[in-house]
Amino acid sequence: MRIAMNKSTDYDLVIIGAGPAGLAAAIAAKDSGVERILVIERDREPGGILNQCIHTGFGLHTFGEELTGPEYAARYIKEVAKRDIECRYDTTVTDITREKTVTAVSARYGLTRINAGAVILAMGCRERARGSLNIPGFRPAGIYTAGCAQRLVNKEGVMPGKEVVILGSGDIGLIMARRMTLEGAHVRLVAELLPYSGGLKRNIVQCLDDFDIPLKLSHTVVDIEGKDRVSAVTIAQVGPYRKPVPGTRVRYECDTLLLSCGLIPENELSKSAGVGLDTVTGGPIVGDNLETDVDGIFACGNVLHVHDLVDYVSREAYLAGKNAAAYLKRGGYEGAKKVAVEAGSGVRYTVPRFIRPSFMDDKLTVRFRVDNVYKGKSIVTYLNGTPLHRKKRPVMAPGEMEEVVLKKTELNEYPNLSSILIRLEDG
Amino acid sequence: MIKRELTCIGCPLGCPITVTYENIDSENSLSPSEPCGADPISNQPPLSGEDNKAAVPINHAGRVKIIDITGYTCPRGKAYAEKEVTDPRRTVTTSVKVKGGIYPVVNVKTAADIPKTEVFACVNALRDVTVAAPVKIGDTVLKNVAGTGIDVICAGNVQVSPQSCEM
Repeated sequence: MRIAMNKSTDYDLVIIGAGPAGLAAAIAAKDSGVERILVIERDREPGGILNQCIHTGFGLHTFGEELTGPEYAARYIKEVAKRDIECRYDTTVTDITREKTVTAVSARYGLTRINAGAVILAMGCRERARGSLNIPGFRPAGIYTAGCAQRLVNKEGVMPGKEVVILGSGDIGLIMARRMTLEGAHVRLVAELLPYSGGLKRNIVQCLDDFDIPLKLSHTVVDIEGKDRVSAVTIAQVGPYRKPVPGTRVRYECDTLLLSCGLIPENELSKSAGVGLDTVTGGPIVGDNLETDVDGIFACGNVLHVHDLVDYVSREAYLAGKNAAAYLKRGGYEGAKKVAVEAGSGVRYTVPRFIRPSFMDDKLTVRFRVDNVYKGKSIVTYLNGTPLHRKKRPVMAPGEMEEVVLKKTELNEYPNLSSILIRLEDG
Repeated sequence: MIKRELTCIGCPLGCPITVTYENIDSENSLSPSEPCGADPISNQPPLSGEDNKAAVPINHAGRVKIIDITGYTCPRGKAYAEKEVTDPRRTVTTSVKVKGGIYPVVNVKTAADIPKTEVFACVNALRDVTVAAPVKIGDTVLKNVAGTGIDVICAGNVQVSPQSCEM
């Protein structure tokens, strides 16, 4: 019993963020025996992004019901309250050190330094904004990220605009196409840079087809007009290398442009703690126990990699909480053999990036995304070059996270295990 | 005989399903080759409800004969496909104004799915509804919205504000 008894720590476990990841991690840690837990949340209440996601589709795997975001959050908030886990709201963490000292500021608690036995990063992600997209034009009012528009409509009760063009067919863009339409706006079209949509197929049906909103694949916004307020946007088709195709420009008069162009895990704090990040996901590199390369700092949820389904966020976060508890009881894994998980052909990235076969759970879920749309392929897992299992998947798309389950017994059949490879193959 | 390609919306898998069927009611306004239930919601008349029920048939169940359904990977998919052709429905999620709460709006949903043709009628009926804080998940907001027999209920919590937060 090393670190848990460390009297110099103010809390055994500090969790950054009380969204779905932070809440599930807190519950799991408490149920695994961690006593002094502090959850720090910058918003006034827990729930994270779920609070503004008023559409249904949450909880199908977890509860067998289709709940709205706030309803799903409410279930976890209730479980946290039942366990009397301490949470601080309106409190922003500004720094984390390698030694797990967390600096936080709030009106209520002032400037505080908190020494933690372990830390779980659960800060979620941000949206890519117009500045990163390099779209020409002035800076008129009327350009919002889709999530910002969602917040305005669903929490502040205000309409961002009336004549809307949406760039990006990720789920947030699709959901807002429907939301704005239901509130009386006229959504002219959704333009998507890639030749396929990044959102769930069900959202194409429920949010676009249902409302006759055109989806233009391989299109992007090439110009924004308007000085004080957006007055028009110009859409063009893109060809190879995503360059606009001459002669395909179409101008749409509108007063609002919503951008749904990618989610980026929010890892400024992780960087200040010296946590190594994966350049593909933008989130920390973690092993099978979801620990980063900094001793005792774990990551889960959208800060680790952007998820499609909150049910999987909860499962992942639950494991992070459980593993943080195990870490507190027995310390770190220095010296344990690590085997890298390689993302082979067709696989964009995997979480975790490596496994410690001696210490892994009996069953480990490796989550990953493919790098394109694939039909009629199988997911094949290799251990030391020998195929372990094949999973046939008729359709796979980057917008839908996949998984492979590895069993400890399977890995232990290779005492000299040195490589784990996951890739796509025909058939 | 009509073949309609659907994407199931029962779960995020979104299985592609093909439904083959016939329109059997010769008195209806649909031609034999016109798909049922495929109309976009926005093409529906903005306010149907009781008066207009005769003008916009909602349930095609008596008028459609399903011949075959293929492509589903679970029973929910088959059920969805059949329903989508005979009696297409949607759950509506939106927000209504709150008086005296820490937020000016609260999110609501229809307690069950309602006919696709009534979606705008539902949203319009909620336009003039204001609820008083505190409101919690499950509270009834509007009974029998747009004559569908289905209630609109609260799907979020809004506490009372120490100072008023009205729109």
